[in-house]
Amino acid sequence: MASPECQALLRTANRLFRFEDLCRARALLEIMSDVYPDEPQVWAALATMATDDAEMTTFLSRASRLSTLPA
Amino acid sequence: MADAKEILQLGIEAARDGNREEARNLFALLTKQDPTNIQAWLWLAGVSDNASQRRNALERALQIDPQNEMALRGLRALSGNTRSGGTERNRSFIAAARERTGSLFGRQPAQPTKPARVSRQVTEVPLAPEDELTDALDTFDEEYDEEPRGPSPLMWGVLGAIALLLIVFLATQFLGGENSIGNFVASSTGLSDNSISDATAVAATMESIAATASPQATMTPAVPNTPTPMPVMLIDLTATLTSDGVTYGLRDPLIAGDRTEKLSDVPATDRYFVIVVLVSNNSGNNKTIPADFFVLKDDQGRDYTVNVERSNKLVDIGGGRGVVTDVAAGDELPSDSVPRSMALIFDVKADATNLRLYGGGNLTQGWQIAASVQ
Repeated sequence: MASPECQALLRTANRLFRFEDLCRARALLEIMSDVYPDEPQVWAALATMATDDAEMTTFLSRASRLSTLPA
Repeated sequence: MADAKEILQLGIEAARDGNREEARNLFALLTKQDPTNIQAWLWLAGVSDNASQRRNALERALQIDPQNEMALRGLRALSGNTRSGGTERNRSFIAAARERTGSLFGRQPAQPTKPARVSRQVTEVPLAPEDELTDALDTFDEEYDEEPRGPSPLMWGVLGAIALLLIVFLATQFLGGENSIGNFVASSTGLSDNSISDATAVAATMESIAATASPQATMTPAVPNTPTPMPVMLIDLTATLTSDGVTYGLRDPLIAGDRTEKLSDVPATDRYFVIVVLVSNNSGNNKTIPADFFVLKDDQGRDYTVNVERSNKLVDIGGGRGVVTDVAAGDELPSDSVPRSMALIFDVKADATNLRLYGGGNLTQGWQIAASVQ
C-alpha cells in the first residue's frame, strides 16, 4: 500500500484528471514516478493518461510487475 | 523542469485556496524529486504545520542559498516568535549562514546591493508574487505557536454566560406554552401544527414532488435499442450514446485502446485490451451494467465481452475506486447522472483487426478503437 502522502497525491492527480487538467495531472504523475518508482498505483494511474499504445503498455506492465496482489 | 514548475504552481494555487495539506504534499514531492529546488523548500516552509517542519525547510533553503532573504526572514520570524528551544538553534544557524555570506538579516550587506542567488530555480522560475510567499513565511506566530493557546479565564467566563443564557432561552421555549418550539417552527415555515405533526403527509408530499419532477436530461438523445444489422456507423470518438438510461462514451480517445499480455501476472489468452469509458446512470434506479453491455467486435467476426474479473483487478492494482478509474466493471452505478470512468478489459485474439466498441445492444453505432492488437 502506498504511503499516505503518495495516496493523497494520487487523489490530487485524479482530481486534475476529472477536471480535464490532463497536462498537470500527467506532470504530477511523472514526478511521482521519479519519487515513488516502486508504487504500482502511480504507474497504473500514468497508464490512464498515456498518449500512445506503447506508452500505456509500458506503464501497465510496470504496474503489473510491481503489484503483489494475488492473481 | 517544466513539470516541476507546473506542480509548484499547482501547490501555490492549493495554498491560496486554503488547502494546505495538498500544497504541503506537492511541495514536499518537489523537494524529494530535486532537493535543490529552493522555491519548493520556501513554499513548503510557508505551508508547514509545525515549527520543526518549517525550520527544517528554511534551513534547507539556506543551505542552497545562504543569502536567501525569504529564508532568513522566515527563520527570523521563527526566532522571534517561538517560545521553545528552537530560538537558539535558529540564531546559531543564521549566524553560520551570515558568516558564510556576510549578510545580516535585513541589514544591507556591504556588497553587492542585491544578494546573488545561486540556485537555478530562483533565477529561472517566475512563480507567484514574492510578497505572497513572504506573507506565508511571516505568519508563523499567528498560525503555529509551539505552545497551544487556550481561551483566557475572561473568555471562559463569557462563554459560560452565553451558554447559561442559551439554556434559559431553550427552557423558556419548551415550557412556555404558546411559545413552544412547535409553534415557533410552524409560524416560521407557514405550516400548521397539523401539517407538522403529520409526518406521513409531509413525506407523501415530498414523494409526489419528486415523482413529478422532470428527469435530468441525458447527455445525448436516446438511441433506440433496436439494433439493425447494417450498415454500421462508426461515430466520432468524442460522441456519447445513451441506452436504457445509461449514457456512455470513451473517456479519452487518446487512451481508448491498449494491449498488454498480462495483468497482475495473469496472462491473457492472447492480449488484454484496455478501454476506459465514461458511464453515467440516468435511469432513475441504481444499476449494474451487465458484462455484455459493452461488446468489442473484430473483422474476423468475433465478439468479446468485458472480463469483469480482470477489470476489477486493474482497479485494485491502481489503488481502488477513485484512483485509476472511478468504478470497475460490475460495480453498481448510482442513479445520479454523474459521469464515472470505468476500465473495460477484453481478452482479445492476437490476430484481431479493426476493433470496434459497441454498447447497450446498439450495434448500429460504435467506435473504431484500433486497427489491430499487435
